[in-house]
This record gives sequence, structure tokens and C-alpha cells, in this order.
Amino acid sequence: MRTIQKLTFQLVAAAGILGMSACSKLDPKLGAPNQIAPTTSGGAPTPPSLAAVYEQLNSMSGNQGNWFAMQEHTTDIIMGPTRGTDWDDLGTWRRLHLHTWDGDHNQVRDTWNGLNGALFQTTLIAETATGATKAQGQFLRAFFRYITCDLYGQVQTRPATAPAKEIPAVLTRTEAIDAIIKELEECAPNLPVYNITNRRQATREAAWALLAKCYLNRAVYKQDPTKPAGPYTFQKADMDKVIQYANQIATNPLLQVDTYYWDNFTWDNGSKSSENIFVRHNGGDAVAGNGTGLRWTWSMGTHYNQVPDGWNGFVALSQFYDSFETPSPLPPTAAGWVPPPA
Amino acid sequence: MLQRLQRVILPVLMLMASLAGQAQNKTVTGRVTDARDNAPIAGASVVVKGSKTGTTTNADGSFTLSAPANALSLVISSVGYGTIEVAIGSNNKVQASLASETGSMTDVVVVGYGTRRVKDLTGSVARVGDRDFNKGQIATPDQMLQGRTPGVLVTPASGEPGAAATINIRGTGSISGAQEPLYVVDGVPLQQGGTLGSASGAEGGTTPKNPLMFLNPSDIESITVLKDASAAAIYGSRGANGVIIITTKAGRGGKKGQFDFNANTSIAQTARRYDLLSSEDFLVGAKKANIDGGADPLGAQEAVKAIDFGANTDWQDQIFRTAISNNYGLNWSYSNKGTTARLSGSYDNQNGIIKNTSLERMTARANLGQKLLNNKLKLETNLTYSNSKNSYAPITNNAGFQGSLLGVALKANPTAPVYNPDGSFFTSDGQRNAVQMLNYFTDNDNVNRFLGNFSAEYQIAKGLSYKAVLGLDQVESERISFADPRLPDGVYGIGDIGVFGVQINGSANAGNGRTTKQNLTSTSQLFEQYLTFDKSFGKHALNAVAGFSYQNFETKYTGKAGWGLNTAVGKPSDVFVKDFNNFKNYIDFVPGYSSNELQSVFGRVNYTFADKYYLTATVRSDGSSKFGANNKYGTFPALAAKWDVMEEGWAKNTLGKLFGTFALRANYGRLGSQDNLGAYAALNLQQVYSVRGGTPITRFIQQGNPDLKWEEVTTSGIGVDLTSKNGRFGLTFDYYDNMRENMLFFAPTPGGFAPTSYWWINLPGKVTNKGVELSLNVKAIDGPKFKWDLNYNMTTVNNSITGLPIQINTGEVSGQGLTGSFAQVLSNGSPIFSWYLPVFQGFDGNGIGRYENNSQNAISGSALPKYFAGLTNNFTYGRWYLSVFVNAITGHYVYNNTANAFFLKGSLKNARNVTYDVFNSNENPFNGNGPSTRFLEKGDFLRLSNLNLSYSFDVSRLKGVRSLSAYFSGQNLALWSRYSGIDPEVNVDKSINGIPSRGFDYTQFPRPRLLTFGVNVGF
Repeated sequence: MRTIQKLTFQLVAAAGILGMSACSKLDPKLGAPNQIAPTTSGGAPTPPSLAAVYEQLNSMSGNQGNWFAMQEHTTDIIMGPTRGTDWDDLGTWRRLHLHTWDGDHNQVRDTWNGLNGALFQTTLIAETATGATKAQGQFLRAFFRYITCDLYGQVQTRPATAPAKEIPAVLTRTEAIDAIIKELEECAPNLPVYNITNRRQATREAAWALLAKCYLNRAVYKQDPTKPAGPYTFQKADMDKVIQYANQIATNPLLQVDTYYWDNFTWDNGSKSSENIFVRHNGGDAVAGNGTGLRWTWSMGTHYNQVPDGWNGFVALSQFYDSFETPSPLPPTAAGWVPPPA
Repeated sequence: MLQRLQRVILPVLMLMASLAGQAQNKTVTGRVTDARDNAPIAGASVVVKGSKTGTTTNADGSFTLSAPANALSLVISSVGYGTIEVAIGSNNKVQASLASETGSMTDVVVVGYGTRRVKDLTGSVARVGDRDFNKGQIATPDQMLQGRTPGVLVTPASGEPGAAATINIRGTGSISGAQEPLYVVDGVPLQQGGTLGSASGAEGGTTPKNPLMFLNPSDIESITVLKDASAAAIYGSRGANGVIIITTKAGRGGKKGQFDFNANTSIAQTARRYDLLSSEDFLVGAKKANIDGGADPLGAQEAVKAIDFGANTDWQDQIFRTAISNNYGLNWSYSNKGTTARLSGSYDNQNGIIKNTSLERMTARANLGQKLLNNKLKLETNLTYSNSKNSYAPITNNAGFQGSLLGVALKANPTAPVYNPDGSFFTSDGQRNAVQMLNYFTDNDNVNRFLGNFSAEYQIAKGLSYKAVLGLDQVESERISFADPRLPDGVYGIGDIGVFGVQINGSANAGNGRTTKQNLTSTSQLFEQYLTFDKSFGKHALNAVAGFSYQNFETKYTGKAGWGLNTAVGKPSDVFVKDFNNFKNYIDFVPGYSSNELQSVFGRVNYTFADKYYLTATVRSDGSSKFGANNKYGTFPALAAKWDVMEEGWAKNTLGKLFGTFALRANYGRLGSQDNLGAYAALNLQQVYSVRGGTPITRFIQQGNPDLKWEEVTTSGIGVDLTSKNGRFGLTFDYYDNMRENMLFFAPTPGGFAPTSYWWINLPGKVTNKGVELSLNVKAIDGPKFKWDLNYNMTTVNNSITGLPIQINTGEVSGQGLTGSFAQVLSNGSPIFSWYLPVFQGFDGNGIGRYENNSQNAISGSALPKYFAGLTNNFTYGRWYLSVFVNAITGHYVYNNTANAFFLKGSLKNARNVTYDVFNSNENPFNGNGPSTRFLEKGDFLRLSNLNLSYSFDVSRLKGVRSLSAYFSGQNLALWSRYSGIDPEVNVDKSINGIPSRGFDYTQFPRPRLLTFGVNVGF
């Protein structure tokens, strides 16, 4: 009996030793450069730097695929041919050319993800920031919504305060165009005036230009989805808005129609062009963040066995090439690279 | 008081007994040796049967014992060996040889937080001891285990020295990240990772080396594999992929101490090479391909002229070599009263069969133990430090059109010379030169790892003890690489964006060299304490463990790239100084930091009634800092039972006529998993950083999933253990059924409306693995001089996925024109790693591929083997010992991505070399090379994996020498397979979005054939 008592005492004492060991609360510990993102009083995550949101534009300007390919390979301007064992890439270019893509197509999916990532980030700024920062966030959200609506015919939206697992609501084309116009008209007065150096950022003129574009195409977006090919009914009120916003832009003397159109596309278009309103800068920018390299714009047109070497060897279709007047002002190239005027 | 009395009385009694015995005693002498190789066994216990009179053997295995005159036999036993009874001969001399422990039921197995006798085990536990390890040139412990035990499938990533391996225990269920089991070395659960992939600038990713390369294989005493929940639940949170417990050797050898020295030399060669076209046939083939491609004979003649550079180069000869490696090890072992010590050191220089590849390793280990306070307090420490230096060739997992080293060598134009007349490297047509790659990419790492534990165990009362353990595991890796400025920039993209994962300020500075330096420090600290209660009450025996465990993990990563030299390097004779500090410009990579904690309480009760009924109940509750606030803890219980039927009274005259052992086992339990989950997946994260210098900006980089919870595996199984009455046949059979759910998975974010396209969720659906395991031991011949025993093990795996909400693609296919291609799928109703490809039906009349069902993808087998087996034959003849091990893996398919990327008629037309199969095929040179079953092959093989022949010399006349043996080992000596590539046992990492792949062959470092010669000396 004494043994059992002793044993019990020893067991209890030993259990005590175990119990004394300091318990961890298992709180996560982070290290630079990452931190736990704080939550605002409204329940939304604290928005990122505006520059980081501008960098979302890089998903469009970063490479020859995705947004660019969806716009161009689906037309006759660019085609990605397969040459025997070369460049099939699981049919990604062919499917764009033949219009046989679906939701599984890697570029259709990746572009969607990129644009929706941008919509998420711009929503954080547009809904939680104030003043000019909020206005820029609103402009950028409207811009990405416009691109998304143009490509996919629908736009996702979700409040900044919503939990991550919530599936976003969907705006139809009709709803989206109204939301885009509303947001642009709301933010335009709070944006800075265009002064050339800020053409990499959202300006009043950039908002007006996008508004003019929206109103110009409003009838298309408002079209009965069962008859997407038209005919469209363009409202006079919309056209008046187009004229109004275009005229507003024209009042800024720093913006002029270029006498030589191709100046908009030269490597030094930053100083040569007086027409570009909203651009992505190739290099660092304190406000608009880091841009992307543009090597793809010429590398995609040449092949890696060529000198100088390139990548995909994309081509233009002959009918398209031949559709240019003879003599054409310049040899057109799909890559956007244009030799300077003679 | 009682104790004090005991202390006085006991020695007196013993003295009296020995005095009393003196008068009528006889002196028995003898020697105890290992049954296999006649090596002496030191410290073996020798006891007169039916008495307590006994002694232990000396370092040379000899003993002298004073036994009662009427003693008839001795009982001899030793740790790690069985027990035998030997008759005392008329001359009072005894020669005993002990069989090692395999299959022995008296053996002790290290399980989590304690040891068990094999006889007492209720769950599925396999132990492989020193004697059964694969021998030869061994870099990592998994190589020692490969094929030797049922249920464990070891698949090396490549044949590179120290290559990583995938280890699956009873199939695989994890569909994200690594599928590795938990490794526990001397009680310390190891952290994952610790080694770095390449950033050399050679295109494509690489698999980091095997983190277990820090262990000196000859320090390992045994490896225990815990295969089901009832065995692994004591490591609950981390046991879902099984647990591998590695125990290192403790001090033995008596108070004189003993030294062991071993040295060996290995010769490695390519086991097989690709059958590539000679220069002459290459030109003939290229011309024909041009004609088949529509060129007129004259045009084809011109085309071939342009690609004939006049040389005859065997590019495989240019990159492969016969590699000589050396390994030395020395250890000192000591045991006396309460002290045990073992000190060991080793040096390895393992050279790979591809030039410039090597693993140089130094290890030092101290295992010390001391008993104090009347043996009530036991202090133990195991410390190991190792330094590994790896030298890498530019070989990557997913190079595209240009290829990495092997691809470059395979497709290289055989008429191209290696060098130009001026000594510079010859290049043409924008193709790489493999020898230039070997010379101009330099990539080395240096890994230091310290693993240590310190434990104190105090016996509080008889049967009750308390143990506290502190552990530290620290790995520091540095990997520095250089890309020579003379590498042609058009071919390597040097100076281009993205080469080192960083855009170098948009400016293309061709020809000025590159360097990168990466550093990774991983630290893990462990604190554990537990109580063990072990007591028998009549027929009841109770063994219980209860404890607490805390472990933290911290990883820090930094990286930096440099470019631009002060002194131009262009001519072949110029010297490129490979000094990281020699460059003009530097840029930092985004640093990395990760830390997480685990905290657990656990308990286990083993209850035995009359050595007949065994019951084990285990529970472990684990908390992880990785999960959301409400889901941090998971509880993992398990239950197992065993019925030793032979202990039943009625069994003696029924089963007992046939069997020596007849036991039934059953188990059920649950395990958790979170190792693959990122440390912060539940959190919203922002990053404050400037990518290219300048003002840091804040990026919102992740919206976390606070609902994440534990991934769970439920296992159940039944088993039978049998031995024949004469003990010559032993059989263990197990049926297992594992089911994994709540799988942690990197899934698309809802609508993509998030900072990232993917995030972690618990995926609905189940992955099940069912199958049987069998191991059979036969002592075919058990003569006094000649012995033959064989061990066979086999495993079947039936894997299936159900309930997935979506079909998930993985298995990236690489090569020219194959960007975005994949070959594998996780799909309901099919096994994991099923192949999903258009079904190839041969070429049509024009040499264009035909595919079933309009080229739709179809499931075509799986990469996961359905059956694998190993057979060991051990022969002993006097002092000779021969062990032959063959293994087979079947029922799976391998994707020959190497052929898909390079061995095509179109490649030949474009002046790239191919195999004779392609030369002879009627494929049209314009036929596409999309992935299809054309490149899918059966992976079945039978391999003579390991052969070990040793001779143990008679050292009785050699003064000062305790033992001496010489041996020869062969690894990968023969391979029987229909696979068209070099080796079907391949597993290049072709994961997509962290979803693992399996069974890809893509220009990996081939597995060598290895011959090793060595000696072991004991003194």
C-alpha cells in the first residue's frame, strides 16, 4: 500500500514537471521583408503602396503572351506557326488563331488571374484610401475593369472588406460599363492635371480619354447579349459625351495630335510623342512603380536561330500584310517596331 | 535501509557462491563470432545455462568462464543478435557464432519515445540493421534502405552523388509538395530541406541535394520504419507519410576500447549510353530528312554541306568519365560500467560520372553516455557535425529548346569539333557546346550541418522514469556560381532579363560574366520531456509513456547576383577570376524568412496480458503555428492489438506442430500532416521591399486562409507473423489501407480575385492506398560451414483518388515547342500520377503521327508502381560471405521526356543528333512533337542492385589486430528492362504549382554502375 501511495505521489510530481514546461501560444513569427498585413478599422486589409498597384499594369505589358496575345493572335495581325518539332507549345498559339480556346487555355486563364489580381489590389485602394490616392485607385480599377470587360464580357467585383473565400459577384457587360463610367466620372475631378511627366500616372485627361472611349462604345456593351454582332444603336447623348470629353482633353496644350503618327511608338516616344496620355514606363518610377522590359516586342518576331536571335518567330498573315496600301508608308511589322522615318 | 542492506549482503552472497563453486568448477574458454562473416563479437553475454554464472566476451570475441563442473551448455547472446545455446564440449572449448538480428523475435526495436521487443510490437514496424544495409558507395541513408524492406519505395531523383530521393511508405497520398516521411535521428525529428537549388544561370530549375547527406552511413546502427498510424501516431502531427527512425551506434567494446578503420575505393562508370548516330550516319540521315521534308536532292546536298564541320566527336565521351572515389572512416568505441563512448570520423570524396561533379564530405560524431547516482541518472549526448561540398554540372530539370548539359550533348552535331583552331570553343547555329558548358559554368556549394541532442533520464522509482531531451539541428548552406563572360549571350541569354531571377536593370551587358551567391540557414530546436512507466503485476505488464514536445523551425535565405568585370575576359587564354567580390555591380534577391512552431502532448499505453494479448493505445495532440487561430490543434489517436496464438494452451498440440510463432495483429489510427504547408498560409501578408533599390514600397502579397486545418490520414491494417517450428521459415504478412483527406492543397483562389492566383485550402476528396506486404526469411542451408539464407519482401500498392472537385494537371513536359505541356493528372477514379495524354497509334503513310479519338487526352496508366519486391541471398562459406540483392519494380509507366524533346526526325533535319531508332523510323521531319503515349513506356525492371563479397581473415596470429576483412561491392551491376532510355528508375521533378509529379525521364544525371573495394580493420 505504501508503495502505491509513494508511486502515486511520484507520478503526480512527475506530471507536475511536465505541466510546468512553458507552453507556446504558437503565434506566427515573421521576418523581413514580410509582415502580417494590418487590417483597417472597416475590416479590409490595409492597402498597399500605390506604386505596387500601378505595377499590376505589368501583367499586360510584361510579355508576348496573355493580354497581348489574346488581342493579337485572335486576329490576322499575328500568328504563332508550328514548324515541325517547334513551337507547338501544347497548341496555345494555334488555339488562339483558330478561336478554339476555352476556360482551360493557359493564356485565357492566366490573363484572367492577372486582371483579377489587379482588380483586387485596385479595389483595396479605391475603397479604403482617400483623396488623390483613392482617385488613382479608382481610375486604375476602372481601367482594369474596362480591359476585363473588353476581353471576357464580364467583370468580377467584391468589396475590400469581404473575406478571401467569398466568390466575387459578377457584373454583366451592361452593368460593368455603367460602373466604369460612374467610377471615372467620380474620380476625374480629384486627379492631377496632365503635365507630360505624370503621363505614367492617372491624370484627369487619362480619365477623360477613357470616358470618351467608354461612351463611344457604350452601345456595344449595352447590346443584347444574344445579338453581340449588332446592329448597334448609338445614342446621341453618348456621342455628345464623347465630344465633350475629347474637347476637355484638347484644352490642355501639352496634348497634341502628333504630326508624324509613328513618333508614338519610337524608343524615345517619351520625349517625341505629344499624343500618349497614359503610358507604362520602361524603368523605375517613384509613383508608378517598376515597369517591365520590352524585349519581347522584338524578340517574339524573330526566331532563335536567326541573327540577331529571337524567340517565337511569330508572323503576320499575308492577306493582312497585303491589305496595306502600296506603297505603304512603312513596312508594317506586328511587333510594333518601326524604323525611324527616312 | 533495505537498499543499504542489499548493498552489503549481495556481494557477500556472491562471494560465497563463487567460493563454494570454486572447488568443483571447470574453466570454459571460447570465442563468439558473427555467423555471417566470422567477425568477433565483443561484449556478448555468455551465461551457464540454468545459472547466473556468466561473463562477457573481450574485444576479440574470446571469453574465459569458470563454470560448475556439471554445466552442460552455455547461453550466448548479444545486442543486435539472437540468442543461442551451445553445448560445452569435452575439451571445455566453445566456438559460437551468432546470427544477426534480422527477423529475430528477441530483437529490440527503437520506436518513438522508447524501445520495444519485436515480440511485443503491435503495429507495422520494419527494422533494417547494419548487416542488411546496401553496401558500396553510399551517400545517404535512404540508399542503404532501398529495396530492403516491404512497404518502402525509395526512388532517387538521379545518379548524382548525394542526389535527393523520394521515399514513399505504403503508397503515396500527398498531392502537394514533398511526400517525404519524417526522419528522426537519435530522437531528434529533422527539419525538411536545408540545401539549395541552383542559380547558376543555366536555364531551368534544379532539385536541391539530399538533406540527409550529412550522416556518415557507417555510424548508423539501424533504421526503423514506422508504417502505420498505431506505430507512427506517437509522432502524430508529422507521421502521415510514415516515420523513419535512424539510430546511430553507441559505445561498446569494453574498457580497453577498440578502434575500427575502414577504407574503400569505388569506380563508377556509365551503366549504359544513348545509341547516337556517328558523324557519317548523321550526315546521311540529315540529308534524307531534308529530302523527306521536301528538299530536292541538290538542295539537301547543300543543306548537309552547311552542317558538316568535318570532325567526329562523341559528345557523350566529352561529358562522361570513369570516376574514382575514396572513403575513409575511423572510430573508437568504449564501454565500461556506466560509461559508453563512441567517437567517429569519416572522409568521403565521391566523384560523379559527369565531369566536374562531386560530393566531398567530412563527418565527426561523438556519442557519449554516462550513468550516475547508482545508475539512476543516465546522461546521454549524440553530437554530429558534417561538412559537405558539392560541385555541380549545369544540369537542370526543365530546360527548354537549348537543353541542359545532357540534352546539349545528346543533340550536338557529331561533325562539330569541341574547339576552334584558336582554342576557343566551337559553336554553330546558336547551339550550345557541352564542353564549354562544363568549363564555363562553375557551381559549388558548401553545407555545414550540426545535429546534437542532450538527454537526462532519471529513475524516479522502480519502473518509473523521467526523461528530458534538448535537440538542435542547424544547417548552413552557401551556393556560389559563376557564368563565364565567354559564354555566347545569344545561346545562354547571359545579360538578358530573368537569367538569375532578377532583371538586371534592363540593360543587356553581354559578355561581362555573372555570379550568384545564395545563403540558407535553417535551425530547429527541440525540447521534450516524458515519463515512462514500466511494470508487471503478475500476468499483467504495463508500459506507458506520457510527454510534452516542443519544436521550432527557422529558415533564412539571402541571395545576391553580381555582373560586370573590371578586366575584360574574351580570349581563350584570358583568366576569369572566380571570386564573388570581383564584379562591378551587385543586386540583392528578395530575402526569405520563415519560422514555425509545433507543440504537442502525447501518451501511449502498452498493455500485455500473459504474453498472449497485446494492446497499444496512442494519442498525440499537436498544435502548429501554421494554422488559423481556431484550427491550430489536431488530435491523432491510434489503437493496435496483437494476439500471440501460440501462447494459448490449446495451440501447443495443434498449431504448435507446424509453427514456432503464430501471431495476429490489427491496427487502426489517424495521423496528421502540415509539413508541406507554408508557414504563413493562414495570414494576410505584405512585403515592404524595394526590388531594385530606391524607396521601399509596400506590396500586399497574400490574402490568407484562416480556415486551414490539419490534413489527416486514417490507416488500418491487419497482419500475421509466422515462423516454422524448426525456425527455418519466417513469414510476415500485412494488409494495409490508408485514406487521406482534408488534403492541404495549393488551389486557385476564388475567381482569381486575390493577390495571388493560388492559395492553400483543404481540398475535398480522398486518396486511398491499399495493398499487401509480405516478407519471407528462409534458412535454406544451415550447415556448420556453409550457410545460405534468403530474404524476400514484396509490396503491392493500389492507389485511387475519389471526390476531387476538379481535375488537376501536373507533370510539365519540357523541350522545344513544348512550353505549357503537361502529361499527368490527378483525376477521380484513377491512381495518383496517372498519365493523361493523346494515345499514339503510329505514323500514317506520310510519317505523320496518328492519335486515337481526335487526339483527345486519355488516362494511360500511372507512374506509381503497383508492385515492388526485393530478394536477398546470403551465403556464408567459412570465412567467405556473399550477399546478392536484386529488386524489381513493376506496374508503372515512365515518360521519356528526353525522347520527346530530342529524338525526333525533325531534330535530325535541323542538324541535331538523334538515336538510331529515329534514324530508322519513317517519321516525317515535319511531324509535330506534342506529348503523347508515343513517349510513354513501361517502367518495369529487375535490377541486380547490390552484391557484396567479403572475406574475414584469421587474425589470431596477428598481434594487435582484432579483426580484418576485405570486401568487394557492386551496385547497379545489371538491369533487365525494356525501357528505351538509360534507366527506368527515374524521377525528375516536373511539378506544376507545387503539385508533385512522378516518373519523368528528362536528361537527368544517369545512375552509374559502381564497383567498390574496401577493407575493415579492427584493433
